[in-house]
Amino acid sequence: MKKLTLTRGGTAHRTIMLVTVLVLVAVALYLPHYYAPYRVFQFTEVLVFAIAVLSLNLLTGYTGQISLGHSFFFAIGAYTTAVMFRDLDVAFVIPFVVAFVVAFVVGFLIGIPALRLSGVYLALVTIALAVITPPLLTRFEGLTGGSQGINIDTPTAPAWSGLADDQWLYYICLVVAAVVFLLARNLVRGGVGLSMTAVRDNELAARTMGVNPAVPKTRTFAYSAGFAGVAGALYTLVVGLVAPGSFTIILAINLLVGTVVGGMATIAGAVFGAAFIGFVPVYTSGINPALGGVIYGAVVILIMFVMPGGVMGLARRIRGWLVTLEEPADRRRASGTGQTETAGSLPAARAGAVDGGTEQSGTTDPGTAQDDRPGEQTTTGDRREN
Amino acid sequence: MPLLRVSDLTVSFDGVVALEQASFDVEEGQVCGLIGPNGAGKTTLFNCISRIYQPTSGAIEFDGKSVLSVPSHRISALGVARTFQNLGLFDSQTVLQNVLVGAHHRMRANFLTSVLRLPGVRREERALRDEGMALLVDLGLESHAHQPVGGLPFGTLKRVEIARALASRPRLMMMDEPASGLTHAEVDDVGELLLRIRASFGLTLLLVEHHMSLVMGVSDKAVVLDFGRKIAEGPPSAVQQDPAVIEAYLGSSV
Ligand SMILES: Nc1ncnc2c1ncn2[C@@H]1O[C@H](COP(=O)(O)OP(=O)(O)OP(=O)(O)O)[C@@H](O)[C@H]1O
Ligand SMILES: [Mg+2]
Repeated sequence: MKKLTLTRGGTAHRTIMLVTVLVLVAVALYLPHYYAPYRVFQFTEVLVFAIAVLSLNLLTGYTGQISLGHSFFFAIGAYTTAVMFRDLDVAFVIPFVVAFVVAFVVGFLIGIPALRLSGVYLALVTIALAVITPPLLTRFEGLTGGSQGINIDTPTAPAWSGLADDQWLYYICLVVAAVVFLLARNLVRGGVGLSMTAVRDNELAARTMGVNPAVPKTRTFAYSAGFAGVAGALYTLVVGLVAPGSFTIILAINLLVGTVVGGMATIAGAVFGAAFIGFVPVYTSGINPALGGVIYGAVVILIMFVMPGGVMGLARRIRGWLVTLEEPADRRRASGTGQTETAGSLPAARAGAVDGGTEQSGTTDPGTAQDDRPGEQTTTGDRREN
Repeated sequence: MPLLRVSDLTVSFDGVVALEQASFDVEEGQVCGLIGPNGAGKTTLFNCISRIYQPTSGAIEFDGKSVLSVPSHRISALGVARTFQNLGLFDSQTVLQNVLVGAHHRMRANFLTSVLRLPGVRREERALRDEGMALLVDLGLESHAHQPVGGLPFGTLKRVEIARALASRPRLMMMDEPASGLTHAEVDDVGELLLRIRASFGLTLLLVEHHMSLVMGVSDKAVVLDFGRKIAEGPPSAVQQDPAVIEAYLGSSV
């Protein structure tokens, strides 16, 4: 087959990107009008999980800090929101912000002692977080409602929207997910993102290059926990009930599975990872209710063998077969010109580039928007009748 | 005042003495060759200056200030950069991205401004990218800019390390065997490259290298270590004739 050659940031490349994004957005927007309410509810849950998986991927995928305790931060967000709805008369967006801030601060504080640990040791300590979450929630009954948990009324669609409640909830989650994915993408794409992966790849070299590993590690811990908290807040909104049994270590493990299945250190992978942990267990227990967990586990192992880079790794490989992406020649020329203009002295050329900034290089930020969108779900399901 | 002053530096690892009372100066603008047989303590010395190893005793001053109270991640901002003997690259990153990490201490963007991607962040990113690209062009690496460092040959990666170190705009650059694993023709290229970047970036170089013709050809002075002790120091031609040096090399290579 003939390979397609595209110039990164060129018209053809950008057009393809734009079309892809538009299609994904259209699919994501149309979804709740196509499927029956119980399916829409599942997709809504996938969006919630997608945020949680993404939050864990920032930490584990990008800075290499394994957390098996992200159910803890998820629970913080969920309970913060539930308590606010129960005890206070709060406006709509406030719970998300508060859930984010509370989880962010807790994550930052936990990130400090976590600096002393890495690999399995960190995994072990975070498991402890996951393990204490349910008993902790049961213990402080006055605040958390004990083992009964807290019930809240899920939001109803306003009349002007003309939407059913399940559709309304779906769109809320879609918007919040889009925002979180955009923020996460912002974080990893620039120099800060490079400091995160540098610390993961080679901490000693990173330090020598001027990166204080404590900075990317604790900050990422905080943002990761904060985003997990936002996912928890949405969970409360969607499910309408928080109880200790929903925040066990199984959730934490599932988030890690979603991270790996989607693709470590990818943004868009979280959507696929979330779809996996949202749908696959349902199907496997459909095959055989008694052996559902076993089949699920086997599927996870199989996937790790067949596509070690996760869904995104596979997608990249397929793209590599189909398309050759070339770097634009103009960017190279731009640097070259700067050099000759300043008589070949590089320090001067660099100084020029710092405040100059040639215009065309700004237009070449490839693949951004496409990766930001949670969206495409093509699982077969029952049609919506409306 | 010398740019770098190492005084009576001693380093021991559970009884193994890697450096013993080593002292020497490097003047601004000099190329100082640091040579010695395997295990002489050359890399250990680099690691002390990088603040990766804590010396048992002695002092290291850069530009008149002690570096021993500076944490390792601040060394690069002081103006000291280095390359690694066995490479210290970030394998998941492209060549250009590695070089950009080299410029980390000059980056203003932080987590908050990045997550919001404020206009300043974009502007700075663009400027640093252009600058990194110019460095790669200068070192003949531009065709590799967007390749992951993973699959590239060792000689190329050694050069990437040089580019990354230059990205921090150092005053002192420490190179740990930049010509190791290269072919003869490539070794000559490295010699030229070192002199060229010294001139165009106004660098002081501390060079560890086993290719004698290369070190002797580019160095203004040479310091010879053997079993952690300085056994000779002076102009390359004189050092080469030094009986103690000949003895050390013969002793180790037989
Ligand atoms: N982290 C360490 N722990 C224990 N011993 C060490 C450590 N680093 C270096 N050494 C020892 O210190 C001595 C000097 O090692 P160093 O790596 O500095 O030598 P070198 O001059 O760079 O040699 P080469 O030319 O082979 O690179 C050796 O005996 C080495 O085994
Ligand atoms: Mg060495």
